[in-house]
Amino acid sequence: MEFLIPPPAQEFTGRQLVLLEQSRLDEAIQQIKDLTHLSSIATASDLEQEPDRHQKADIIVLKILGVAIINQPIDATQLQALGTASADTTTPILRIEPEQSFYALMDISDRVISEPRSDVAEAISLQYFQGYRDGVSCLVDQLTQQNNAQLVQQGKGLFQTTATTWADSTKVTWGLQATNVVNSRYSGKGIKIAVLDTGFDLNHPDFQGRTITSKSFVTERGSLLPVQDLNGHGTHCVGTACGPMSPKTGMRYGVAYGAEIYVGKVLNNNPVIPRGFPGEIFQGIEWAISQGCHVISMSLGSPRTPGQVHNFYHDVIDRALQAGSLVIAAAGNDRKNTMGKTAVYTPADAPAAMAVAAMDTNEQVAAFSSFGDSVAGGQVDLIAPGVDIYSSYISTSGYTKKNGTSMATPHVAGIAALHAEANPGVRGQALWSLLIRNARRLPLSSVDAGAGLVQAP
Amino acid sequence: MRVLVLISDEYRDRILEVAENLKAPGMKVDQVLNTVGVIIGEIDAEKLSLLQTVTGVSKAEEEGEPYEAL
Repeated sequence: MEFLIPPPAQEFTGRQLVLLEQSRLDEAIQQIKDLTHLSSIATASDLEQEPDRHQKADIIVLKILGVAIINQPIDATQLQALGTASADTTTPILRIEPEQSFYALMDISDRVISEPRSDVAEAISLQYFQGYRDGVSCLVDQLTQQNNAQLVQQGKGLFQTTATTWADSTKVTWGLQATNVVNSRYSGKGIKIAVLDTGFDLNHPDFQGRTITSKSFVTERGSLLPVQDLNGHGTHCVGTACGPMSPKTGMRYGVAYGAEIYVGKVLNNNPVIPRGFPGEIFQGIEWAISQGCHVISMSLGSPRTPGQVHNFYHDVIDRALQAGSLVIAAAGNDRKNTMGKTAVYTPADAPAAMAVAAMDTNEQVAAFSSFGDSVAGGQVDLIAPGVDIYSSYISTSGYTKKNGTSMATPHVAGIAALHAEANPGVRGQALWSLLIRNARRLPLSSVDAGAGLVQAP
Repeated sequence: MRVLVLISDEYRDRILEVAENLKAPGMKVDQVLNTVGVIIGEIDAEKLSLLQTVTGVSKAEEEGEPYEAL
């Protein structure tokens, strides 16, 4: 028979932790004394010299951290007074919380014992726990199916085996809902996004009156092609990254409606597979950096054999990041290994580029989305909506739905612009960090989804 | 063939000098990208290895396969 020492329950010590404004410590301590009628103070350095004072001091102050520990239990009136003071933004008392006990986190194997021990509070038979677990699981499944869909959309629910399903509404695409763009107050205002692709439909009705800076780097038969997009891929990507808040017709499909648009044509107009040479793409990157673009979106790539490293392009993109331009690239659409090659494509495999995988409406990895291998940089960093993505196009209607890691990439690019606007001055690696930290973890392997689903601020 | 030359970090502020030096082994220089430190041009295939020896060159490679829209 085996016994399990249960994991520690949440336990409060009876003390209060108070966060103080660091530039107004003396004022804050005085305010605490006034509100609690406690008087004896000890600082961390006092306690070093006289450890016994710890028992007698009413308030222990950690000056460097700006924290006060109220060492005596206080009554409800005093607690409420402190709570009111912390809610008042003019006071130097910022927060108050009851102190909880912290424990060493033990591995489960350390907590399974063969006989009950007198020095351990409880040891319960493992069988009992297993039965309890099964009962709770059943209950959770029943509850979550009913209530969880809504909670998950608010970021509060439990992960569940039946997935959330997103859908376009009449007002906005599913992609902008799943990434929380719909709830964001940011538009990318003041932020420059470069989309390096097949160019753009400069006559598209949704972008008249919007300033677009553009340049072509593609030569065919000796002459430079015009920026005008004759394939549609570039128009679709620009639409997702920067489309307007209120399109002329139909639902909203664009993230950073206030961003400044820079279109670099680095892919040709081939109706089936637009192509561009590395040299032309580097010129596009150079141009985007020289224009001061915060974000460079590249929905393009070339297959890479797992384990293969392209050092040259890695150096170029390193330099782009150092120069303050965050390169966001599509991971590749080759999951099923149809070409005998898989793994994150180049240039997404550059360590300094963010590689974006594609997600479907069920929050699953898209059937085509490439995954990472073990080469440095060859991993997926984020996942974003990439199936049934509606955006601007060169068709008669002016819109179409497309699938691809190409569609996921401009979601991240637009959202990067929102984060850049929300955090003035943040660029390059620091902007990368913001995107990762704010991603919504999904119950998907990081090989497929990186840090998770990109989220708008 | 089309060739891409990556300038080493120490020479990035002297990229034009390196561009000049690339002409001696026979490279025709088309583009000089100051910020990313890349020089693009053309050279006969058999002379590619000569470019690697030019001062300030980190890597010299034949321009690879085209990238495709994803």
